[in-house]
Amino acid sequence: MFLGKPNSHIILALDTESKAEAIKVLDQTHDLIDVIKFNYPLILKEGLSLISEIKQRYGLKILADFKVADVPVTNNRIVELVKKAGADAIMVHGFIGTDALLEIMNIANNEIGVIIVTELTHPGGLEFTRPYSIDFANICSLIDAYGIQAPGTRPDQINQLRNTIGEKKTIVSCGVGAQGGDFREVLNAGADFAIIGRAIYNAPNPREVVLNLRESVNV
Amino acid sequence: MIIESLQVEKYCAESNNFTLKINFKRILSIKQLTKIKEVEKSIELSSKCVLVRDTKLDTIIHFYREKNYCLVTNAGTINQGILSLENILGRIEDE
Repeated sequence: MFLGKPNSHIILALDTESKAEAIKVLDQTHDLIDVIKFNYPLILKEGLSLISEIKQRYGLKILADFKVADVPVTNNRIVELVKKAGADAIMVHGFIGTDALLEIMNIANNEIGVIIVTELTHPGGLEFTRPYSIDFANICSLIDAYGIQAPGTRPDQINQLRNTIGEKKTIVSCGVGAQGGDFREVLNAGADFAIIGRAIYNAPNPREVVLNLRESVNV
Repeated sequence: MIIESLQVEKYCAESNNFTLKINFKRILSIKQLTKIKEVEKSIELSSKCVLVRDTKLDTIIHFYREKNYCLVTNAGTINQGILSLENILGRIEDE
């Protein structure tokens, strides 16, 4: 459902400078990864249509990492646009509250998966998101969202979040690779997918990096 | 009946839903809040608030510790909001 069953467990964070660079990386790696993740910089530069274009070209699942965090009216419009663009899942912040999240669930209408951000991976994430990350995970269960984001830089926390939401919900873990998170540790801690960007797209040979990552977890 | 009064806290025209503030005659007891926490689809947030989701009417009710009111969010109509709350309160009315 939404992002599908993990095979390689790799979500490629496609944060390249341009569409041309993105395609160069995907041409080398698309058959080895499960999902492509887009964030704002590339989409703001190249346009939302890049989602459908890349999806058509490579036939992979798309995660829109737009960390939606506004008032309901605006959130709802963003989710509607991203759904129409063909994304399979979208990330939204948990701190917007249950009323706003429930509205997003209604707009998503089971056609796009809603993933709730629990905790940002950088040190500042410990200041404001950490104290509420378990609450955000509980909210995921309450509103029956597709899953949560968990910090790949903190495997203990992934484990705690997995225990909170149970086995049925999906966990995507960012911060693996360049930010310090370890692919194997993240999966062992309970994540379904690891989000890896710079370690792949900045490498001289992205394909080799992905192959090595897969080998490290025997897939 | 524990409900004393009701006010519309917010109405969103675009999504056509209401947030209601419903005042109680008294503060809910710890025992009542504990019973509410046992309701299916409920969570406690930071020991300050218990949220209950009514999946039939698609609302969420916010109960607070030591407060004599609750919030009902995402109600399609005022009546649906009241009904959601009554459904939950019905389970603890032996208090």
